[in-house]
Amino acid sequence: MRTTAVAIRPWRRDPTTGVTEEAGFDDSRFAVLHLPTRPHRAVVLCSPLHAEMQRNYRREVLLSRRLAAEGSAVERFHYRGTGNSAGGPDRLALETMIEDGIAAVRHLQGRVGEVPVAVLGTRVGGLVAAAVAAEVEAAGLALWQPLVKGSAYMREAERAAMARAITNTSGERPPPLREVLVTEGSADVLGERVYAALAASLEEAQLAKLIGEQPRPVLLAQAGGPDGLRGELARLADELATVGFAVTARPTGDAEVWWANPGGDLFREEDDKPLTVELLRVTADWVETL
Amino acid sequence: MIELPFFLEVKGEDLFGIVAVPDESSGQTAATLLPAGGYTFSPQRNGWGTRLTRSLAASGVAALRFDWHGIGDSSGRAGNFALDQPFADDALAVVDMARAEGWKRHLLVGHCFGARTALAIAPRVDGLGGVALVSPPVRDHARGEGGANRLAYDIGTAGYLRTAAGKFRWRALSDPAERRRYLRLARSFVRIRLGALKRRVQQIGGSGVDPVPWVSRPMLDQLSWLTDRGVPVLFVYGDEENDFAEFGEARQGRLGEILEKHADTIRIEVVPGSVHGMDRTDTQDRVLEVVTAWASEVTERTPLKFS
Repeated sequence: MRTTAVAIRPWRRDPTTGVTEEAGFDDSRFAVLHLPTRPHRAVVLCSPLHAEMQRNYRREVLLSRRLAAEGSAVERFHYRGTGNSAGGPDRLALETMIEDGIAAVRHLQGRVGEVPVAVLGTRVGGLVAAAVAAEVEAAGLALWQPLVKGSAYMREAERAAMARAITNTSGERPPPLREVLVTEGSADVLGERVYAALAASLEEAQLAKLIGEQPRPVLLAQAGGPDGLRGELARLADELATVGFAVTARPTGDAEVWWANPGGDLFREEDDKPLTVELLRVTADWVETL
Repeated sequence: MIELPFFLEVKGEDLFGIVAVPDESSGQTAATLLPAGGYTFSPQRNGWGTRLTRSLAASGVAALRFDWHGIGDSSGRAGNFALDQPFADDALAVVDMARAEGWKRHLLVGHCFGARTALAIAPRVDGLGGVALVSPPVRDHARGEGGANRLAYDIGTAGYLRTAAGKFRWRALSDPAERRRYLRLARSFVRIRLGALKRRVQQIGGSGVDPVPWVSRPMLDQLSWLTDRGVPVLFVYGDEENDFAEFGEARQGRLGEILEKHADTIRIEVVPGSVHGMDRTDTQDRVLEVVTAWASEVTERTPLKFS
């Protein structure tokens, strides 16, 4: 018979910064809070999904530690149905992700009180962050290589699966993703199960609409292309600036292969990667201006 | 089932993990999932790590998943993942924590680098009830250097140097991490070729020749240690992975003898796909089923032993 009670420690304190990290579940949503002694800002991070979530995860941990060391309280969370959170992955959709993001902001505000808020989102998390920031008065919005249109997510996933198929010994091309989602309800994309509910919820989503009409500070960080923002991101930056958003555009030197499995930079720690160093720096600098 | 996150200090760094506790409070067995080496967090691809620990907990076995130091939510820097230099301190600390919390029997479930770590720490785990090795490599090499290791054995000095010259990039020398990698590869090559020379001398002297000299000797010793004590061992490989092919070749040597001698305690399961990469969801699901069923079986079968 097991006799002792479980009394394990769900927090850590960074000895160099004094920041406390608390891990726990807010209902079924897993979250980690980074709490400096006297927080003067609150930042919520909205992750990407699937392979992109894995690829970006350590970068988000390092960003949170840096921001907290500089005085921001930070909450990272896993969407319900992903990572350590509870919930069925088949129910994951843009709407549930936005609900989780808003819950994270409220949770963090409950801990640190009324301080300026910023929401950061990466890739598909950019769509979530935009919608969450729109719900919070004067919240800043930081976007790392966001999807401008939700439909691009499934397209890129399919492209990555095709690229993998080319290198397969069988040479078999996977059937069209959209078709599989309709007939099967879900599809295996490079070892990640993607469900029809998510695909459907992203189909019509547009960043420019989700961001709302209230002008706010926006950081647009693009991985790769040191000469300036490209294509859709450049157009979005112009569009937002025209209607009064304070847009800071930060193209960075190194590109990132998003919809692929982590392991590209096999021999490099995350904090040694130039892209990570640059993204952390530009984001920390931007947060300081809020 | 409830899940409890934890931080655990190991050598000045904090490891992060989650223990999934079954509803049945009388459970005496805990399983620790030792992840593969690499920069992926403990839920792993498609939540495979999360799903496995929850599946074990649903079957009545408490299950812990955690991030190695420098990975996921843990603090520190990971450094290099070399199969012959397992992160034993991390793994033992998690197992000891489980034991301190009251779980007296322990199962180790290791994936790739985690499997080799499981083998390395097994002699130091009190109440060890079984070890599941999910795609354990049978060679010793650092992460991402398996190909170079194979070449060093297979194609001889001249061929190796020709291949190395073709892949060498002067520009990479400006990167300290790449310089360290080149140095590691050079050292590993010299060690392997010296070993080959030694074996040739032994052969001339009339000693027997190991048909598979590249198989990790520490791994074989650790496996022997386990099987000699009757600890149940599960091997899980995918039929499309190189590690399985090498496991097959390795059976021509001492590994084959161990497997044959202890067929009653060692089980080998082969599932479709690549278990090493877990790059198909049906492969993940199958591994999850196999490991959960094995854990239930050994928990019921093996009497609780205290050392």
